[in-house]
Formats: sequence, structure tokens, C-alpha cells
Amino acid sequence: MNALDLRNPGLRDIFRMGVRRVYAYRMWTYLGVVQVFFQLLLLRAVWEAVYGDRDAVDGIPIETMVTYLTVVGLLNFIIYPGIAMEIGRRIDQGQVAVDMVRPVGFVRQMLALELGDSAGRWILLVVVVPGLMVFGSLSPPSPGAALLFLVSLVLAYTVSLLIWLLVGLSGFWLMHISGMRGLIGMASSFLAGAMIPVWFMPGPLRVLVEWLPFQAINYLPASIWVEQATGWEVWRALGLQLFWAVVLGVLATWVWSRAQRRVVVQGG
Amino acid sequence: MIRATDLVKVFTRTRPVEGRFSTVRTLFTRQQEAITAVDGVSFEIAEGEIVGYLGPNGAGKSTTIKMLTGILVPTSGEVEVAELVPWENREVNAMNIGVVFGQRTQLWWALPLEESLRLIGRMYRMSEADFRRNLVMLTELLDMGSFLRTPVRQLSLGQRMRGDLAAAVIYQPPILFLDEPTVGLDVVAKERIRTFIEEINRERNTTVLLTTHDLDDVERLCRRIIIIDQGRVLFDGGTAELKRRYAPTRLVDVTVSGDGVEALAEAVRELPAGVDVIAHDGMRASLEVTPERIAVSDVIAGISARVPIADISVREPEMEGIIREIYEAREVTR
Repeated sequence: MNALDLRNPGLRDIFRMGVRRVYAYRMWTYLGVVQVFFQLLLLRAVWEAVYGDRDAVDGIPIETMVTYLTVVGLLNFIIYPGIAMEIGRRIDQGQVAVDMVRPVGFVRQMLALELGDSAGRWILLVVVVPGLMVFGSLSPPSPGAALLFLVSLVLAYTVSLLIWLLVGLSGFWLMHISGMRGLIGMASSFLAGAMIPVWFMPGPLRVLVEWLPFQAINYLPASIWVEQATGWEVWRALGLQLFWAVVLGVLATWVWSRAQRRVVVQGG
Repeated sequence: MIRATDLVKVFTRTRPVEGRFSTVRTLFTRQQEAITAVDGVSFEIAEGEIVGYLGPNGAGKSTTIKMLTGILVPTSGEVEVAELVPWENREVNAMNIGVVFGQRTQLWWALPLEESLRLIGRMYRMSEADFRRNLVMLTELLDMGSFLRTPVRQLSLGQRMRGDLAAAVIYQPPILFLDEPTVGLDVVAKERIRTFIEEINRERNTTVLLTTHDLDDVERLCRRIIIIDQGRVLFDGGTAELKRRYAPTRLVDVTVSGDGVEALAEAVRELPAGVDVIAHDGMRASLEVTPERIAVSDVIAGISARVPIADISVREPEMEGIIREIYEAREVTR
């Protein structure tokens, strides 16, 4: 896929600019860290209240539940949907005109910038991981599960990136992506299992989740970490993630090829 | 170098509903309306030309430029820029063209100007030596030394525009598209940019297509102009031809010395064919001469034989007036 060819030296510069930008807008970045901790504390309080005096619900011990929520917090710090906002802003302000007269494709520029932003944020993991261990619990999985979790994490990042790329590209039709962003944002936290693990969801909702790509972002990797998914379930989870990565990749390529013929430059 | 043939661009948008609850009804309407921004434009531009592309706001200038640069896909018609169809070969086409959009910047807000230019140099795969040499040259030509290290977001408009020009030419593209490169600039800054465009065109034989509302840009830089309105070409030719066709007259201003007031009044009453009075006020008169009917020199000779002249001058009509007339004439036929 041409969009993944990051060999142009200018793209490396854009990547580096992404890294630096994270620290140019420092407060924004720090607030993102605070948000991760805050969400964890809230969810933990709710779930501890739900459990009450019980040690386990449906065979899930409270400790596993807390670890699950903590891992979700970690995932949501690592996986950050910046690309939709960036594309949305460029469409809204007509900046796409400038992006499209460059010798590297628009999507590749956006991907390079997004990867740079991500890499910049990941430096803060040195603060986020200890913080999560204080506010939650990151009881480490077995070495095997840890390795599989890493594979799952890469796939989760890819699926999320592609979903948000599609949301961004929807701006070529919608002009404003904020509505779409809100909808997908809600879906990708609730249907991803960020608040309620899929194992606690009622039947019909569970079916819906199983048929949508969002569980690949939080639920599948987190259940590998807490070893709720074991044996063939792990392979099924990884297979599902891979499936969605491929499907969304093909979809994004197709959508972009259509979007290029729909470009409208706002503001003269 | 650049060729457009029967170029058409139609935009569709949701038609706003009128009447009661119009906002809510607009949300649910499926009615579309088509707006033809460019309506059958054809022209050809040869290597090394500087062409002014003029027209009132909303005439279709920017839309044309966006099709020539490969940003927009034409609804119909053909475009060729350096033998490529721009929108089919966006990335290759980008190597051949430099673009300045006066209304927005292609520099990166967060980076110092020099870093922005370096990024562009790398994107266009320039060698370090070429980049250095061109940067030094452009820094001098555009007088950018004092703000090369300043982040782009802190530059003044004039500085930013110079930076944008540098960004458009640093990789030495053979073709330059300038969409309002002097918009909002002061007189000095405008002049610097004009001199620069002139120099690049002379030194590198760069082909330039320029849109502007500032006719001083045109008088200074362009030997040829294309005027469009409502998406159609109204005029395509040399500036001299424009004046000949749309403003065939000359103005002769006469001032007489103190004792010539009556002689002037008499002369004004008995003007030969091909001369009209535009203004007459005591010691001064302005005459409009149609050179096709009577030579300007004959008019001057005739007047100076009859009245004691203190001062006499001949004016060509200004471009601004001509263009205004063309736009206005168009309004009437709408």
C-alpha cells in the first residue's frame, strides 16, 4: 500500500515535528495524562461499589476487574485518536489545498504526523505506568501472555488508527467531522469495553460488540493481559484484530481514492 | 507549458430551504443545487511567460488554479501542466510546480522558517548542497535574514508571504502558480515581491501564472492577461491590446495662462470631429481624443495655435479603469 511508504525524507521530518509538537503544547499533553488517571479512579470507584462485599462476580475477582480497568487506561494513553482531529481541522480550514500540492500524499503526511504525535506521547509512559500502578493495579501477566499482549497492542493501535483515519476522511463528505467524532468516540469507549468489560454485557449487546471492530481496541488486548482470554481464545482475539485491521485498511484505501475526487477547498 | 481546454468545474451543495422553519427543513432536504464555478475555460501558456489571471471575486480564478495544481478534479475538460494531467499525477506534478496561496500558508506553524524550508527541501529530495545554496540566495533576495530563526506563527504577514514564496521556489520548479501573492501587504512589501517574481522569471525562465486584485502587480509583471468572469474567459491577450480594444481614447489636459480663458472657451466650442470635452473649467479643459479619427498631435497643434498654453499633457487611460469597465459591462448583460 502506497500510503505506508514512509521513505520520503520529508516524512521523517514531519514525524519528528509530531514528536516535538507534543511538548510544544505541553499542557494539552499533561491534561491527557490527568484524564487517564481520573477515568481510572472513577471507574474503579464505580466497580468497587458494584462488587460491594463480594470477592467475585460471575467468576471475575475484583482484583482482575481493577487490573482490567488499569490496562484499559494504559491502552487509551498509548492509542490516541489525534488523526481525525488533524484531518478535520485541515478540511475545515481549507489547509488540504496546501497538503495536496506536495510531492507526498496527503494520507502519508497525516500518518507520519500521527505516528510522531504518538511517539512523543509514549515518552510520558515513564510517568503514566507508575501512576497507573498507584491508582490501579498492573499485576503483570505471565511472560507468554505479556508477549501476546504486545502483539495485540500493535494490532489495537492499527485498528484504532484506521477507524480514526476513516472518521477524518469522512470530512471530505461532511465538511465538519465533530458529529461523527462524537458518535465514534462514544462507540469506541463503550463498545470497546472501556467501561464495562464485554464479559459483563447482556446477550444482545454482546452480539453487537462481537460484530463491530471496537472491541479490538480495548477489550481484546486487555482480556489477554488479565488472562480472561486463554488458549485458543487468545488466537481468536488476535485473528479478529488482524481481520479488522485488514478490512479497515482496505476500506480506508478505497475511501481515500473516492475522497480525492470530492475535494472542496473551503475559504477560497 | 500549461494548457487548459474547455475546463469546467461544477460544485453541488444542498440548496437552503426558504420560508418557515427553513433551518430545520434545510437539515432534511435532499435538494441539491449545482454551481458552475468554471465554465469552459481554455488557454495555453508558453514557457517563460508571466500571465496575469484576473477577474472579480468569485469569478473562478482560484478554482482554475486549484485544477491546474491538481487539487481539484475538473468536472469536464482537460488540463495539462508540463505534459502531465495534474490530478492524475499529483505527486509527480508537485515536483514541477511551486504554489503560493496568499490566503493561507504552506509553512509549518510550529517550526522556525528555516526548519520549514528545510523540511520542504527534504520533501522535494534536494541535496544538502543545493538546499544551502538556494537558501542563501533566497535569504538575500527576499531579505529574510532577520526572521529565518523565528517560528512561523510569529511572523508578520509580509514576512510570512516572503517565506511562502521562498518555500514555493526553493526546489526550483519550472512553473509557479501565485494566487494573490500580494494580498494585504503594504507598498514596500508588495514591491519586494514583484521584484522577486520578475527576477525568478528572468533568471530561471520560470513560467508564472498569477491571480491578483492589484493591477499594479499586473502592469509591473505581466505582458499578457486573461480576464475571466462567471467562469468564462472575457479577454485573453497583451496588456497593450487590452488598452487598444477597450480604451481606444487618450486624454489631453490643457491649462492656459491667465489671459487665455476666453480663447479656451471658444476653442472648446469648436472642436474637430473625434475630440470630446470631458471637463472644462476656466483655465483648464480635459479632452478625449479618439486617435483612429484624429491624431493626438494634430489636436495639440490645433489647440496651441488658438490658445496660450501654460501646460499640456496626454494620458493613457489607466488599467484599473479599463478593467472596471469590463467587469461592469459584464454586470449589465447578466
